[in-house]
Amino acid sequence: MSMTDKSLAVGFRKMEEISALLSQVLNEAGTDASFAYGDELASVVGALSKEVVPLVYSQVLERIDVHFAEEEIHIELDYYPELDQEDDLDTSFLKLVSTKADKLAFNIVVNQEECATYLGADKIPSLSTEHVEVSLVCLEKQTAEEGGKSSSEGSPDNGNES
Amino acid sequence: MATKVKGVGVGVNIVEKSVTYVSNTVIQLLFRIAHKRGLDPSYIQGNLDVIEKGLRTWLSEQKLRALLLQVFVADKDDALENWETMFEYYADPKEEVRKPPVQEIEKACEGLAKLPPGATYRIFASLDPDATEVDGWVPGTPKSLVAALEKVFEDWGFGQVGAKVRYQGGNWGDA
Repeated sequence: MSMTDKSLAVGFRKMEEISALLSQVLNEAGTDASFAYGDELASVVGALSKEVVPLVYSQVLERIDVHFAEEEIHIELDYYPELDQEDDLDTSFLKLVSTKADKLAFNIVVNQEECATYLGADKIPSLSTEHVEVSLVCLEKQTAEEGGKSSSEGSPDNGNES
Repeated sequence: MATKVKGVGVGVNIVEKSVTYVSNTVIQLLFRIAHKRGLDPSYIQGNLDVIEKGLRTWLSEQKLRALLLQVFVADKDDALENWETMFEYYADPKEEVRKPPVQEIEKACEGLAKLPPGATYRIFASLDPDATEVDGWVPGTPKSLVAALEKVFEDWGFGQVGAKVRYQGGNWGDA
């Protein structure tokens, strides 16, 4: 399994811009992974990018993980970036690993399950389709399951990690 | 609490970023306060675009004095709580990004007595008279409040805009 960390700077951006960017990146990840069900993906991503808006506003959304084949991409949301910080969202490297995916999965990782549920995030898994699966993951639980390993906080300094 | 910003003034629109940052953090606090006080989020969610447009417009004009989240029971004359975000505007932009005191406010919410059944809330903007009208916002008058308790939280902001939250109410659980 290969893991790659990406970051999206939120703090100084309008929410409509963040929502559009997330949509674009998640669709591009599918395209770069040669995912054959582009329309299905676009439909799920369109709905998902609206559902996550209150989670981004409330800063409950920690990251979105994209899983397919042997690849995993973590898109971290950086709520307090440096003023001149740029995003690291390029997924075109996936073409180089010649991945062909017939199923994609998104994990919506939140840092406060109770608040996320309050904001309607428990409905997110119902967006899943035959080839695109969407799950809600609570960081608190995930961390506990990993034996107290601290969660990744902030954005990575560099792009790829395998 | 504060993060020093690099590169201020070098090809970046500080006014725009300042307004966006404060607007985003105010909406974050509205959600967090509503959550911790057990209030239905649908009012904020359903009016998110209107709230954001109002905030962005009036912060840009520097005409927004305060944004009030008022908690009340519909058939009662007096309100139960006011969560008021008060704004300041600086001629000399602040180069620090100061984070909102989210945890302190959430902790304070948890220390308050539970709201009675039927408690709901509305959001009011206090504006300078010549502020631009924004679609979706209509004239309104908050209910009066007999406040036994008041707490002002640490200020935050960036660039030209600063903000701080003031709680007023009468049911501080551990006071």
